[in-house]
Amino acid sequence: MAGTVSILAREFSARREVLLVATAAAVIALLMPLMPGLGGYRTDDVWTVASNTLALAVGWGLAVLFGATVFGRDLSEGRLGFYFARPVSGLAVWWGRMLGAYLLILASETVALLPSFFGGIRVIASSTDWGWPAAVAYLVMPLVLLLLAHAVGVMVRARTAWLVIDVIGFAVFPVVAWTSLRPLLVMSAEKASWVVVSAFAVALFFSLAAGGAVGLATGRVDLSRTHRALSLALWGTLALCTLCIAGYSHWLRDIGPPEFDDVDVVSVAPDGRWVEVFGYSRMRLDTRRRCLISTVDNRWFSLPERWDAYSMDVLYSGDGSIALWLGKGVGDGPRTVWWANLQDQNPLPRQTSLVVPTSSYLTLSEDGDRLAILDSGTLSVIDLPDERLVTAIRLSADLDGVTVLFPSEEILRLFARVGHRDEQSLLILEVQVATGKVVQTGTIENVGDRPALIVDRNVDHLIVRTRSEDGVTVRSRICDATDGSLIRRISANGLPLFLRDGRLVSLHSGDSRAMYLVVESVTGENRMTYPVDGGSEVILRGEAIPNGVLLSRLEDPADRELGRRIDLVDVDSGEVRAIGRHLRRAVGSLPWQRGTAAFVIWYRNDPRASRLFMGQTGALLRWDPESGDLVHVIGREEAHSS
Amino acid sequence: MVDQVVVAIDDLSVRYGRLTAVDGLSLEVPRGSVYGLLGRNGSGKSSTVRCLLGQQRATGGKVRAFGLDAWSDRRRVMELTAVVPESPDVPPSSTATEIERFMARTTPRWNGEEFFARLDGFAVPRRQRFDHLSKGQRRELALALALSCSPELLVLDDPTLGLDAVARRDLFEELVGDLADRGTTVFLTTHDLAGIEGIADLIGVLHRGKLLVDEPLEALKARFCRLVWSQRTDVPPERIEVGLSHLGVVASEAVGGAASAVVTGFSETAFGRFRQEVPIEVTRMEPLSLEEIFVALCGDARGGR
Repeated sequence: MAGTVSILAREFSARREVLLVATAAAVIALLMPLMPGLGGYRTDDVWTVASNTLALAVGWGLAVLFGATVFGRDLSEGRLGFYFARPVSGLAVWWGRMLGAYLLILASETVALLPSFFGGIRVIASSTDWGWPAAVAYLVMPLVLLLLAHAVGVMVRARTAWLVIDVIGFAVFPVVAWTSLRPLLVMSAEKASWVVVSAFAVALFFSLAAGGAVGLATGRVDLSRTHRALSLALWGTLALCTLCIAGYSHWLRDIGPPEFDDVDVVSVAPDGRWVEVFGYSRMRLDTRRRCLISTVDNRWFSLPERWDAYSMDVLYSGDGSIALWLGKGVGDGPRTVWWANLQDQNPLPRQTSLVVPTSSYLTLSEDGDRLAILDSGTLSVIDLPDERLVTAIRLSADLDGVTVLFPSEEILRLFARVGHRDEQSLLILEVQVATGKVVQTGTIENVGDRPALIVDRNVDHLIVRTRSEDGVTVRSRICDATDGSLIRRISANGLPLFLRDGRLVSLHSGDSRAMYLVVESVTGENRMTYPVDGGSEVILRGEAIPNGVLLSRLEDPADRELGRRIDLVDVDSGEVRAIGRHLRRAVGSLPWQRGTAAFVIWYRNDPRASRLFMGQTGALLRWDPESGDLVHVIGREEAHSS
Repeated sequence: MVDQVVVAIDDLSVRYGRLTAVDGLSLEVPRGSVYGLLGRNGSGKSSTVRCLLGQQRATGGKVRAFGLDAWSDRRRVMELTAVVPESPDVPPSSTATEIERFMARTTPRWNGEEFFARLDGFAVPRRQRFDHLSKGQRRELALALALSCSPELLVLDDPTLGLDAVARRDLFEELVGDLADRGTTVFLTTHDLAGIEGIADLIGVLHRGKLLVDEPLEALKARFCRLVWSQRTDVPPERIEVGLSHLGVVASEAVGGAASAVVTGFSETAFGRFRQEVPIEVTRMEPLSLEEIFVALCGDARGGR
């Protein structure tokens, strides 16, 4: 220790002239407010910016300079024997000189930063937001640069055959690090990415330190041997660390449903038999696996990770037999279309030759044999198994926000907005797939800027929900889904839903906390009203059994962590049956139409799709109407009261 | 019990890739003696010194000082050892005063007063940067540094390299004075054969990595001599050659009417036998200087390796 301190002090003293450079930088920063063009800025702001910039330049520059010369030059000039002729260890020599150089760098940075203090102690590091970056910039970076320059300095000056290994090492390390990091970034695992990046940084730091220290302690005054020992220690340590970190990174992301503690259901097949999930494991930080998993028997297969917002959820055919998704890609570039037959015993992802832009909209037919692709105003219908183009239609350029539904194999129903903003109308068009003929069948006027459409199972009726100019008031009207004619206007709390038999169910507020469930035909006939318990955030959800709809409400408005209570209401008798307590949410009961240009809910799902719930701890649960039990599908098992 | 052998080198070999710098070197340096290791440039002297100082790992063999392994126990060896390197390696920006402070913190047997006294004696300025000193002053500072460590073993690696005759003389005088005072063991490599002749007890001659000679200086000088005889003799040259071979001839020449040969195995007995076998008249028997002995041993090859 005494040897290290002595050498440190000597190193500091030997290079102390650089403090003059730092002083000069501080003087320059102090004079900066006098520079032409900077008169309009606050003096202390100029001092702060100038001194921080110059301090970093001084710190990083000295780190590179010292690193390259602290040993490399003495070794090549045969001057290191002075230290090795003393009764001090090689490690003491290395640590002493490196620490001396590092402390001198810090001292120089401090001197160069003094104008910041004159300006009212506005050092960047004093800000909470800048604390970490400042610490890295002023403390860590000089140290890393010092070590790196030291290693490179020895390598370049020695120029032994080990230089080949060094070049290979410097080339391979970033590649391996990126290879380990990229999959984590792709799955948006910020915490895991941060851990892996930090681990690589620490590994590089310690490898450089180990390489430098071992190199000098082993090679002593012999530059060639120092180089050999440095390279061996550096690349050996780094290779070992990299291997461990790469293995750790692989382990972090190598999760499947058996490891899932928590799942996030992204989409549900209309028959409820398959779900697209992001699965998480608490042991694997925030890494996740995107997969399609059977809610019946837990069969599963992986889906490509979603790199960005351009990727879309899995699409399903109306009968739930076909799943379709887009493959990997870069940015918003084109993607390959993949699909799988979910009725196979072991569904295998099949790559097609179809490549579509991420901006295109896709819809599958009821049985999944046909795929409609809307891209840049062209509607193409593809025979999916054969990948054969059935028809391609160029739509009018006036159409905006086109929604494509596939009510039958031969007919496409299109809803498209025309006009300007608040004066937009909704055109209803029908496309004959066989002939490619497009017919406008109706118009709905004044649909506002972005209407929401709620469509019944057979696309006979739709509810158009528009917002008034104040953006708060919602107006709903039921229209004929073919000719657009107004059937009637309705008012309801939240989103009404269509039963499979075509009737309409909606929630209405009563006096005080009372609420009513109203069941009626689309024309308002055969109206039945049932009082239901009020509460907070009462939401109407899907049809979980024929003529049985879900009602979801917060357990305790004061504590959202307690989750939701979900009941089943028989729309013919008003009988209420408990499904479960303290659930996170119902999934699949609100059948969004993915991949369409407007907010569309198409109630074509089988009731089985509305029997899936997220438990409070993130497990996926399936409600069994026979027993009334919630059956655990995947994720951490938990007890549920019903 | 104090170990009487301070330096023990056993079968030392040093290789740099395919190049063998030192090949099977073995020698011992008794306590209190001055061992002069001679050799041409590139003969392996500096490699041997670096191994002795623990600055370089031997490729093979063992190097021990004070009974300690010079490589693995370098710190302990250096507590008792001081070095004057071939090129003074004091940090260039340091002054003598700064160096003194550093030495006081790192060297247990350091004597700062002695250091400054020697510097004053050499007239080396205390507050001048090392790289601003003259070559002679740098040497003197390096010698003062080494001697002020109060070493039991002093290693000098060609300390007079680049010095003029006066500076060389002063350095050896300083060295002799110090040795007389303390009885320090000295391991010395040098090209200054005249200088070492006055102080060395033992001589080793390293040639192409191999040790040709390892013996007391007096014995070395006793067995080396030049025989001069007249060429006007009836004795056939072959008979002379055979007779000389018993004396270990290493060089011979003929100039004018006289012939001469440098022999390595001279002794009264051997010479008596030679005269009986070879009836020629030896006109002179000249003792050789160390330099002549060295040239006779190592002068056969150009470049030394």
